[in-house]
Amino acid sequence: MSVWNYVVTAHKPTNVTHSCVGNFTSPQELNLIVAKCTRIEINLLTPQGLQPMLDVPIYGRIATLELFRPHGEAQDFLFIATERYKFCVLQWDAESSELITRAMGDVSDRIGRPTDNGQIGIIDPDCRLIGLHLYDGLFKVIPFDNKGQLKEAFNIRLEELQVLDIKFLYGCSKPTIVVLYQDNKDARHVKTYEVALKDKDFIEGPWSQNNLDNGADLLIPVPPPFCGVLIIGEETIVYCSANVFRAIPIRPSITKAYGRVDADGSRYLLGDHAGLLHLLVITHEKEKVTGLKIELLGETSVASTISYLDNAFVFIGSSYGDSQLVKLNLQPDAKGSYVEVLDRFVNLGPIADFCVVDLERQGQGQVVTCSGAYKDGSLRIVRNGIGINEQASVELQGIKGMWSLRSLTDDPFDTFLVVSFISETRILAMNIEDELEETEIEGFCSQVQTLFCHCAVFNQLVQVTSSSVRLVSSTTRELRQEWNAPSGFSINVATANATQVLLATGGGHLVYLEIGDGTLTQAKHAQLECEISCLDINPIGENPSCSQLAAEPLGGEIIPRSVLLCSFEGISYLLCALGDGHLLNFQLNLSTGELKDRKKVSLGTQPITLRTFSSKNTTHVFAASDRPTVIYSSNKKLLYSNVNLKEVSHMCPFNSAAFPDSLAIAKEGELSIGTIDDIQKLHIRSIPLGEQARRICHQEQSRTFAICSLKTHSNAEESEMNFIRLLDDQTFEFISTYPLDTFEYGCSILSCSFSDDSNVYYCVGTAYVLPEENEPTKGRILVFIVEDGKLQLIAEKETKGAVYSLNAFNGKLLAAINQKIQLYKWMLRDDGNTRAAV
Amino acid sequence: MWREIRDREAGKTRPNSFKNRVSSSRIFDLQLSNYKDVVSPHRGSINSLQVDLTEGRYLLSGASDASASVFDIQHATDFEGGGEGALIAKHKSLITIDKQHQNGHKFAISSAIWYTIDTGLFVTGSYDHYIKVWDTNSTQMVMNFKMPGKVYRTAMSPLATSHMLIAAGTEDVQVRLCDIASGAFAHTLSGHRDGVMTVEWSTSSEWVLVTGGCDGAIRFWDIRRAGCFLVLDQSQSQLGRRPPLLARSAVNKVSTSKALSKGQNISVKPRLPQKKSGSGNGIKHSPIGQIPAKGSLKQRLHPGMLSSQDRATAHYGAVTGLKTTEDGMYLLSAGSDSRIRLWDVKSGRNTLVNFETARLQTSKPIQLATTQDSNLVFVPCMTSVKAFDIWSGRTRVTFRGHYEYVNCCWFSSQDQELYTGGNDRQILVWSPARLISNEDASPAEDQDNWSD
Repeated sequence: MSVWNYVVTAHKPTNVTHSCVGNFTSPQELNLIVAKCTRIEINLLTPQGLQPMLDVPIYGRIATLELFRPHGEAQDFLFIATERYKFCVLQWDAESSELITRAMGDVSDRIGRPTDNGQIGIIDPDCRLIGLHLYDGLFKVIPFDNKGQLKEAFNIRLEELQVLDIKFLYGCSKPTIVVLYQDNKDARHVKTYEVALKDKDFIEGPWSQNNLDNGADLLIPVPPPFCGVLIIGEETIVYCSANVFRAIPIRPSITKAYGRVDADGSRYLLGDHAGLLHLLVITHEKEKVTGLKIELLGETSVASTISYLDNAFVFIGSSYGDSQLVKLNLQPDAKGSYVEVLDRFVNLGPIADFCVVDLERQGQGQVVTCSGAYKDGSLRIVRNGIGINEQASVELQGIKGMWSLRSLTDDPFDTFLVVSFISETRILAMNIEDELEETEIEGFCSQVQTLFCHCAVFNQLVQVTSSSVRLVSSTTRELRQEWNAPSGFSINVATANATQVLLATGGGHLVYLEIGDGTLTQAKHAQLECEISCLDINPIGENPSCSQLAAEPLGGEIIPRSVLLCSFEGISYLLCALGDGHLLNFQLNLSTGELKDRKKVSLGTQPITLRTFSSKNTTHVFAASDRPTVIYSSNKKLLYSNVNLKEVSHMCPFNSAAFPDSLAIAKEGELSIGTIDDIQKLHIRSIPLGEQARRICHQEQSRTFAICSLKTHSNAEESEMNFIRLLDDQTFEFISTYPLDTFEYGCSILSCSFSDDSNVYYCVGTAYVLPEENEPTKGRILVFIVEDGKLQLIAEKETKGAVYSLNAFNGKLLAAINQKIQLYKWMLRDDGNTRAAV
Repeated sequence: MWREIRDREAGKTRPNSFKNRVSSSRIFDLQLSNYKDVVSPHRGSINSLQVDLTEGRYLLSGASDASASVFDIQHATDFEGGGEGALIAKHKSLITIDKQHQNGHKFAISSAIWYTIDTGLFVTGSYDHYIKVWDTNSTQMVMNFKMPGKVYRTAMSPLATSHMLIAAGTEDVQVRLCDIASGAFAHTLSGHRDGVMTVEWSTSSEWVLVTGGCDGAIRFWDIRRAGCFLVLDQSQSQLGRRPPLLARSAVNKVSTSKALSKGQNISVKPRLPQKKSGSGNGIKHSPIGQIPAKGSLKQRLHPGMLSSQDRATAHYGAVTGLKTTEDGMYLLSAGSDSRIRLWDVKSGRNTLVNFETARLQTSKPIQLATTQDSNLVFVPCMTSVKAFDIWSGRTRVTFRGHYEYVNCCWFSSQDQELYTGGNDRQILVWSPARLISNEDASPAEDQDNWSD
């Protein structure tokens, strides 16, 4: 049998690269459109917050995302260009709530050198043309015609060598670009060009400005009435237009993103590389700019994009940390920050390293990633499967079965929870204080184990014990009729629905009872050749009481423990769980009773009990075993999803008023009630570190993680500190820290043991990165042992280069040092542990 | 390097610019290779070097002893211990065609180039007036073209998909295009007034050929049309190409020094209707410079160009080398006036970059090379090869290794390696420095470094 691997994306991209705000879906609605690598998300601004409307994959990484409004249109269009040189113009179709592609095309050139500083895509504020800077020395123009349609693109030669930013100026009679560039002496200048569409060339623009701040990196065009441009440098901010020049010094910072607050462009939000948010105000007298003011507002994630939404709400999109929805307050809080974070949007990127661990020993791996960068660095624990949000739990030992019952047949909520033990049956009910309380139903026999319980028609309840079937009124709670098993036989298994009871007694006897108003009548009796191990009677489809006859030799030695008939998406299935944790499923033909499409999957190693439940109006099946699984159907295919629980012995849906849509789950020694998460979702837990983790590894024996991390101090001189940190694998707290030398960086980490030594060690490879060296020529291999939750340095070995990678190899240590691979042997010396290079 | 890896890891630098940075940092590290050696079988000066364009694996050399050889530069034929643990890979020629070959050239091979589509064919041009096309696998000649004079340079378009033309520059004033498909001359391009030292196809259009002659002219030809459409003029510079907005009607009226306003640091400079014109007077602003678009350019100048433009020269003396940058936007030319000039291809103007060349060979065509990111140009300057920054003209690296004049160089952007060949019959390999640390210090010594 050939083995095929397939790749699926478990989690959509989360790194927010671009965002924009505009009236995209309707002239009245304000939308936030967010680009996450290869996806765009369209959100609607509502008083309750951001409401997602559509999530669209784009084939290619998004390089440009711009909203624009051609003349005569009531709402905005979206322009997207990808890094693969494709572009499209999208429009919202209100009727179908989908996107319509207005225009699309390819803007690649056969030759040309892709720009180093990233692609630039800009749209003229008067919608006369789209400008793209994709290749060095070329400015591509896609003009609009009078009707707002795109015309054929052409290139204009741009002599500036290193273009840092290009923007369109506002308020110009001809489309005018302003270009920030660096010459070959590394000085930075801005220059303006008018685009002459007829001649397909540039004309020197109205002004230029030489010798700017050497860190000038960003241009912000200022809309009318000022119509100038702000040049954001590392140490100065300059406002520049044909006849006005204003500059202010700022604290050294690298501005990464900006967002315009007012339509007239007098206030801007600037986000810098340290995550500080500033407000830049253009002071003016009428239409004349008199100066600039800058004020620190507070700290956010390191922004890659800033979108001012409305009413002081701001979306901060980040590539290095979680994206945030923040509110700017008029008054500072206790810490002097005007920024209040209202919502966070998880971002896993950039993932520098990860390890797969099985912390809870469920046999299900979790991924622990080193996510984020700089101050937003964090560890994220990503796990697959379905989470149960536990809401209540009771300690109860030895549960053998559980069923929920309603007090009235048409009551929407469950009231009773019948819990069966080996020699008794207890009934729990919700009391007025929404607590579970033990009660009694007089008609039930509570001294024996219950085999099955169900609500029946005419406000009745059915209890099946090993000796009898009892029909109890749910209103008076009194016994109405009892059907006793024939003497000499005891009921082994039983099942029931609202009108029928099916039970098996020893010797292969199958008895079928019908429930009437206060009556139990034995309708049929059959004797099968073998002993019956499990039964299910569940109405499916239109034909609930059809007596189905089909036999399928299961083969094998394993006894089936649970069968279930159910239908997913209109297809009926017969599920049969075996005692060894395997599950067989068949498609069931309702009219002929035929079984086909036998499939076998392994869910665990212990006997499985199957139960249906519904969540969000769809039916799912819960398979309780040592690895609880939810079976559901998607696109007419049965899918299996792990539940993040350890062994579950029984489960029943329990939809009470206090715990709507909940499940009662019997675990080892415990009964808990909880709701179920969305099916098929990754669960992410964040452990913020405040520093960037670069390498991670887990040590099973000491139950710890070790990380190489890097702390950046964002004061004036960029100083960095490197650490090896030890974390507890349950609490994720730092237990121990080993600081590395200055200029020493952790490059690799490994947990391994050596031959002739039973201890397990952490090995760390480092490099001394001296600013004057092109490639490290010195590094270390450090060997640590974890003792009493402390990192103890056992041995260290200097290397002649950076230890880029470490690996265990036949009880020795294999190290990749610069361009070489070296093998190290662990040797015991008289005075202690020693290693030697081999 | 370290910082770049880290920035890449954090997603700060894009994969593309990371790649560019690493390769350009490797280029600045170029030195005489301490691990790779090409064993030259030639007994004459090496005139031409080329690595094939498809695999980047086979180096073709042509030499004055009428021999041409092919080397595998990826896989060494044998190794030689260079002491201190460093191995030197020896690359010996796989095939050599010399005078002994039944169809071999009689005189010096001036040019040896690969067929651009694959390595199945290569083309040699020789002073014996022949251009020969060879089958690489059988080392047999498959075609030959008799030229009217000594062949100086041959070229095939790296882009061509619809033609298989060998452009040949010879002693004759006409440039000939030899068609491999038919075995005949497809075109003769007349215009030069002296022999044609160098030919180069455009890297942006498969129809555009650039030729440089001993008359000092560089001509651009669209091979689909008659005559040349552009003659480069060294006195046409970029300044004033785009008339300033306010002064479009009154170009070049007053010539004021721009330096005055340049001196002011941060101050707004509304562009006044004064602009220093490139060449000083308006008459020289002949139509070539002001052609805004390609279409009109051809119509206006084609085919009967004004004789004044037709006489324009790019160099004083012969044009000895031509090289287009990989993005097709610039052309570099070397002349016997010991100058390198950088031309903007689209406008056809001299960018006036002053390359710090000392002296160039004057009597022979030289072969230039550029890096992929068009930042450096490698120029054989007498016995050394100099790497100039294209935009500033400054010397970045000087490669001294040849004992006699260097004729040709080839840069392999795949491995960031430079191959040079000269009159001393050597082919030298210049590669990024590889750390060969003397780690042969005995392991026993190392043990003492341990701290417990």
